[in-house]
Amino acid sequence: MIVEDGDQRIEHLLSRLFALGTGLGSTLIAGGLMTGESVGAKLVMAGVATFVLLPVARVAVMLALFLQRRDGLFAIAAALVMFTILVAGLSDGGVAHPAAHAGNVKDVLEGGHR
Amino acid sequence: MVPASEVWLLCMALFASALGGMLGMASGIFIVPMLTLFGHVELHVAIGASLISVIACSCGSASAFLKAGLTNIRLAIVLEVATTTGALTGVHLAGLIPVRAIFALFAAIMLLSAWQMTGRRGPVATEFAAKRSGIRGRLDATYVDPVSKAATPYRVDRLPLAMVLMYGAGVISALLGIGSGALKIPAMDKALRLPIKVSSATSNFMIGVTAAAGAGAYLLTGAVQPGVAGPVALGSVLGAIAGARILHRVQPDRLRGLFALVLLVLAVNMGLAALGIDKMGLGG
Repeated sequence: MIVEDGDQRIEHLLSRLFALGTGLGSTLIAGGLMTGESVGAKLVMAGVATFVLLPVARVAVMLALFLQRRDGLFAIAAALVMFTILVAGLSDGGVAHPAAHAGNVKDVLEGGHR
Repeated sequence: MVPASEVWLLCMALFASALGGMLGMASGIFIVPMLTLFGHVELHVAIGASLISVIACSCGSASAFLKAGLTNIRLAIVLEVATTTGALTGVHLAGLIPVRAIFALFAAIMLLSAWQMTGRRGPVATEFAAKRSGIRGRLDATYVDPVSKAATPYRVDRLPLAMVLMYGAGVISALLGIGSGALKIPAMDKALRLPIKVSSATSNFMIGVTAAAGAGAYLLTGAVQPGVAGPVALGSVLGAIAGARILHRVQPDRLRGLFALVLLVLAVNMGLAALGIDKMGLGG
């Protein structure tokens, strides 16, 4: 996407980030699935966490690069996105409420931590 | 050894994801119905697994889209302000709105999108004499169509409308555990009047961030189970990588018909789920 000079560099960096992150997450999950038991489960969850953090890392990279290039407009946008993700991610909101979700929600909650 | 159920989950996710990746849509829309209807997985757990697979799918294909130069990352970050705010809202709404009502609403929205995509549209706004000022000028860009190899400039129109639509897409993403590509792409196609491939690539880019915003909440409440989310995510990644390779070799015009057809099928699926989910004894 040739919007401005330097955008190619950002795209190249992000492309590498996603390729590496995807590889890492996939390997962790695959390894965890083949290992099984509680060790395997932990590996799988590590892979899951890798994937969830990958888009967050992407925003962080964009924020850093926009700041470095003194691109105020888009740096603010990236910062806003970062902030919103953190707030959303750290709040369990209404997800835990049994009213909206069917099935054995109690079993799910007992297994997890609040 | 790997349990048979996990192998099955992986294959299912792989197929759904390849199809989605080919169309530039996240496969999340297939995941929840399949897990709940065929896999007998609790809805809460299904949505959690679906969100993870949506992120994995998005990440898996992002690299290819970026290298192809189709993604408008500046537009993406601006629109993400709206989608992540929507996801935050959605996470909090999850306890208030009956899921069947959401499914029915979603089915209606997809029917609308399918109808819109098959309808006639005006030409992509490419004629402009001078560079526009302000934020819109900074978002206008050029992409090289991989098939025709022509460097095609395009503009970005009606940003405020798109922001509103993206907010809605974010809400739905967090509520249903989908990537909302089915909403984002038509929104970018219709509201912003982007070339369809740019819409696909940019939407895919944004989907990961939107889903990550919602995933945190599901992780905290323990709704993400490794035995379900693991195979589903892994299958999704493998399928997405395969699908994305095919996407940028397809003619742009053919994508529209395909999109409309898939949307139609999905709308029927969701409608059935809205009606049938009660019969499965899942409540809601």
